[in-house]
Amino acid sequence: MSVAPPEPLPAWPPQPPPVVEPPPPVVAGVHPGDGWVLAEPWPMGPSTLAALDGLVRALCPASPAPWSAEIAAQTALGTRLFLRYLPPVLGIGFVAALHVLDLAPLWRLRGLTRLRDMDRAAAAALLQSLAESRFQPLRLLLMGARAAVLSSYYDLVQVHEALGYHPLPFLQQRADLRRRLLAGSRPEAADLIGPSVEGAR
Amino acid sequence: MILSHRDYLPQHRLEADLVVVGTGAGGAPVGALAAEAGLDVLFAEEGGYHPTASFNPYGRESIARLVRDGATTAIQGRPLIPFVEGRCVGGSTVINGGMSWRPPERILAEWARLTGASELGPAGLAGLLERVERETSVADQLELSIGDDSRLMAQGAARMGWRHDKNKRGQYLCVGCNNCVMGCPTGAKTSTLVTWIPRALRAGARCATELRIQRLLIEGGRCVGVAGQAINPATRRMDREVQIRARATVISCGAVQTPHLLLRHGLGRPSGQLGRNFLCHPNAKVLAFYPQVVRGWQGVSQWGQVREFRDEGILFAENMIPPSAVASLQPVHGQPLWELMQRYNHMVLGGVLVEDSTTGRIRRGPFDMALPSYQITPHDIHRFIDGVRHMALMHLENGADQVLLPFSGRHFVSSPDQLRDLERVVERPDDLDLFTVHLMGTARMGTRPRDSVVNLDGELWDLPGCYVSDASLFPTAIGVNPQVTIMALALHVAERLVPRIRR
Repeated sequence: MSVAPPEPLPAWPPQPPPVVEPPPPVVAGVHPGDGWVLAEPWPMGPSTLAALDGLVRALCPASPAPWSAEIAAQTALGTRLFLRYLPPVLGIGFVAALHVLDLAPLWRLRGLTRLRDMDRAAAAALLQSLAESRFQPLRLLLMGARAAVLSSYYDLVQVHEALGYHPLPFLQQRADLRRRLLAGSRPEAADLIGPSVEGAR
Repeated sequence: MILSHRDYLPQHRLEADLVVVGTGAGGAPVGALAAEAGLDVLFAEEGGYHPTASFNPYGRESIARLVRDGATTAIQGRPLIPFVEGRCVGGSTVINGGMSWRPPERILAEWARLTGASELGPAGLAGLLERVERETSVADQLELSIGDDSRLMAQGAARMGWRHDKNKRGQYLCVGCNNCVMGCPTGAKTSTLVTWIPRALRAGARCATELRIQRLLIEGGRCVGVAGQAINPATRRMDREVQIRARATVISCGAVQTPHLLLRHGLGRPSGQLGRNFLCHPNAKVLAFYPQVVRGWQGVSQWGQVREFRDEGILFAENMIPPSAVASLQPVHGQPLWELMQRYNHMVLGGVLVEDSTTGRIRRGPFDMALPSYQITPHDIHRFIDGVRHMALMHLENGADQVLLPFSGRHFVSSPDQLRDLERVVERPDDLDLFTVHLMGTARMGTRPRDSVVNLDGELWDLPGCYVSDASLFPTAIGVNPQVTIMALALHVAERLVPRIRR
C-alpha cells in the first residue's frame, strides 16, 4: 500500500475550542480509581453457577487459545457483572435461559445429560446448531448468551495478548503525543501510525 | 457541583430555575447557555460521571459504565435491530465517533416545507450550525491520526473510482486512539462531557447523576418539574426518591427515552404523533480480512466516508471496534471464532448505512421499558444487499482475501463471483444482521398542533413548561450523523427558552 506524505498544515496550532481538555498523565487500566462503584455480581446459586460454567466452557475456545481455570472464572465473573447492568427482568430472563440451555441436550434429544456434562466440542456443536435454527427465538437466545459470555472472554488481558492487541501502551503513547501537541510541538513523520507507515519508515 | 447516589436522602427535594433531563447533545447545550445566562440549572442524568482520566479500552466495564442496559437494547421487528445509547454524563456523545456532518440542504428545505417554518430551513439553521462547529471544534483529522484501515478504505474507493470524503469530526488535536466508543482517553473528542457540561458547571450548574427520571410533576396543567429514583451503584437497585421542582423542564433523553417518559402522561394528544415517526438509519457491518497486518485499532474511527451512493441513501465508513465487541457480533463461537479472531489485526470493519425509507414507533412496554418497533421495507432490504455487495466488492478488488457479510449464518465470500446472487442468500428480512446508533424523530417539531408534538420553541403543545431538546425533534431522517443537528436545534430551543425564564 502506498503511503501519502503528511499533508502540509495551514496553521499551527489549529484554532482551539472554548474548552480544551488535556489528556491525563496516565491512561487508565482495568477498573480505574475514579470513585466509580463496580456493581456486585449477579447472585447465583450452585446449580445456576454450574450451568454458567458449562456455557462458558462450551462457548470459549480450548487450548491453544488462552484457557485455564482462572480464565474460566474471570469470564463467568465478567458475565455476572454484566447482568447487573441489564434491566432486572432481562437479568432474570438470562438466568432462566442458562437453565434452558443447560437442558438443551434433553430437549434436542441428544441424550440424558446436561450441557455442563457434555464433551466440550459436542457442547459447542450443539449450541452452534441452536444458533443456526430457523426458529428465531432460539437464534436470539444464542445471540444473547454468546454476547454476554464472549464479550467477557475477549475482554481479558490474556486474550488481548494472544491476539496481538496491546491497547494500553498505544493509548499512552498517543496521550503523550497529544500533550506535546497541546504544548505547541508540530507533528512529525514519526507520529504517523499504521503498519504500512512503519514499514515505509 | 456533581451529585451522586450517596448524596441523596431517602426522600430528596431539589429546586432550580431549569431542570434538564439528560446531558448529551440535546441537553448539555441548553443547560450551558441557560447557566451562562445566570439561571440556576440542574441536570438530571441516569448514568454516572466518568471523567476523561477514567476511560480505558476494556469493553466489559466501559459498556457497563457508559451504555444503557449493557448494550442489550434492541428495536423490535424483523430483523431485530440492536441499538446503543449513552448512559453517563455526556450521553451518547461520550460513546460516538464525534462525526459532525451538517444536514444536507435538501433535508432542511424539506423540514421548512413540512413545518412551514423557515427557522428550520437551510438559512434558518445556518448560523446555529456554524456556532456548533466552532464551539465543538469541527475539523478534518490530522494526518497523524489516520490508521491503515482508513487508508485501505480510501484506497479501495479510489480503485473503484468512487467518491470518498473526509469526515468532519468534533475534535481538537485528535491523535487517533480509536477508543471513541468507550470514551476518548485523551480528551480530544469534543463530547459534551468536555465542552458544554464543564461550561455549565463553571457557570454554577449542578448535575444530579445516578438518577433515573420516571415522571413529570404536573400542577394546574403545567409542568413544574420531574421525579425519579436514584440508582444504588453497588446493587443497581433504585432506592431513593428524588423530586426536582423547576420553572421550566427540558427533556433530552434521546428519541427512545424522551417519548417513553412523555407517553406515561398521555401527552402528545393534539396530533397523536408522540412516539411515532421513529427513524433509525439502520446499518450493516461488513468485515474484510486482508493478507497484510492492518491493526485497525490504531487510528481514528471513520476518517472518511464513501459517498458514491449518497443519492441512493447509502453510505460506507470503516469503524474498528475492540476484540470483545467484534467477537460478540460473530455467527460462531468456540474454536471457529478463535480462528477468525486470530486475524483481528488483519480486519477492516465497515458499516453500510441506509437512510430510512419508513418510520417506526416507540411504545411503553412492561417493567418501565421503552418498546421501539421498526420494520424495514423491501426497498431497504434491496439497498442493504446492494450496499453490502458494493462494499465487499471494493474490499476484494483492493486485496482482501475474505469478506464476512452481515447475513444469517456464516456467509464468507472470497471472490467477486460469489457476490452475484446475494438476493438468494437473503430470503427473509430476518436474514439481515443490522445495528444502529442514530435514533431520531419521535416528538417532531412544527408549527401546527395537528401534525407535530412540540412547537417551534420546543415546548409541548399540550403541556406548558415542558420542552424537548434532542433528536426527537427531527421532522424527518437526515441521512448523516445527527450530532451537529441535535446541538443546533438545542441552541435554537435555548435561545427561545432562556429569555422566557428570565422574565
